[in-house]
Amino acid sequence: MKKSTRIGLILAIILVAALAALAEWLVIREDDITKNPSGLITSVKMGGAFNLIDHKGNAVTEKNFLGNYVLVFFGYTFCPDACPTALADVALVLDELGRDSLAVTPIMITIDPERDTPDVLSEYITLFHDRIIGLTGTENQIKDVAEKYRVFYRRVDDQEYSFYLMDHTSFIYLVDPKGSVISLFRYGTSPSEIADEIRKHMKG
Amino acid sequence: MLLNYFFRTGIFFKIIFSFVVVAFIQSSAVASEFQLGSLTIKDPWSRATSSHQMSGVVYVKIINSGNHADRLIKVESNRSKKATLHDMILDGDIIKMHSIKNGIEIPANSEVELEPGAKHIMLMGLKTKLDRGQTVGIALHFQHAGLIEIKALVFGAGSRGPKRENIKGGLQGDQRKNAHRNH
Ligand SMILES: [Cu+2]
Repeated sequence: MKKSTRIGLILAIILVAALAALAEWLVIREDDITKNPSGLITSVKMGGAFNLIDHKGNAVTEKNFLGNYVLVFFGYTFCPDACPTALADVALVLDELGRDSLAVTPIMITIDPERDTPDVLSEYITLFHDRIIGLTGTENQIKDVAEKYRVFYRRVDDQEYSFYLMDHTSFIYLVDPKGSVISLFRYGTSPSEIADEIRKHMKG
Repeated sequence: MLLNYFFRTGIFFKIIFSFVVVAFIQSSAVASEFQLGSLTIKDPWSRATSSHQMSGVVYVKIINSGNHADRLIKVESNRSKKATLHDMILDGDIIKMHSIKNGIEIPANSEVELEPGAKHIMLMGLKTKLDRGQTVGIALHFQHAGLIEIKALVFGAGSRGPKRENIKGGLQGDQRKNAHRNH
């Protein structure tokens, strides 16, 4: 089996497994789901329109990102362990893609809009890569986009102190230039696997 | 005359300077190992933060060369209001962090590594941001060996630690798979 075919197959398996996992804990409407004849979920309609604020304070919608591939990641800046690792991975994907990375827009959407204002996001994301865009919004705007991406998030308070943490899903989404989600990557997928998948789509 | 040439071209100072640099690098390499009885604390490190970030993280490797298990029960830092032992777990595909209640066991004749995507020391309520190249003072309290103060070196915000500082791609996938397997 060719290496690229094998990676493709692995990604397809991961995608199906991920979608099955999603279906377990999220209520997905039946008409969003595409199934193959044996009843296996092969795709879920997700993504779509959003109204958010970028890290420079500008209002943006999904239309601002059409025409480019988009790597979307949901996280929050208070998280010092998992989120920096994911952002560093996204930066490595861009490095790996070299010139092709110009056709990819990396986006971090915060699930903690209360603390992650545009200013907070702005300084944070530049620690990782100068092309990463941070998006925040009102509580309702974030709730809306999270629902569209089937993102689960929950505030977890620390009784002892005034801090809180967030539980959140860990997928990285690949959105095509028309705005459709075409791949899901689980936490821990290596940057080279993600870069290979993007290249595969670029070649069409 | 040869000496004169050295001084004039500045080569002399360059040589002296490189000696100083080498000595500095060696001393900082030595300083990243701390000994407390039969416990060796190796390569403690941290990640740079932005000025708005309220939390930071410290990772460390603890080697127990003794014949008795010990337990890391408490951590403190001069850089944050609170320091706690934390664990990151993947519950399905949901990332969760929680504090570790009864400390971390360091079994006899083995090593325990705190690393990204797994157990870590969480600094909550940073007093000032952590900059690359700085050190973070951490006090580790062990149940039997007692207290040791160490200094963790701050790397970049998305660093994977001293071993992987210069490696792009490759290792990180395995590293996280290992972290996942621990749970
Ligand atoms: Cu933590």
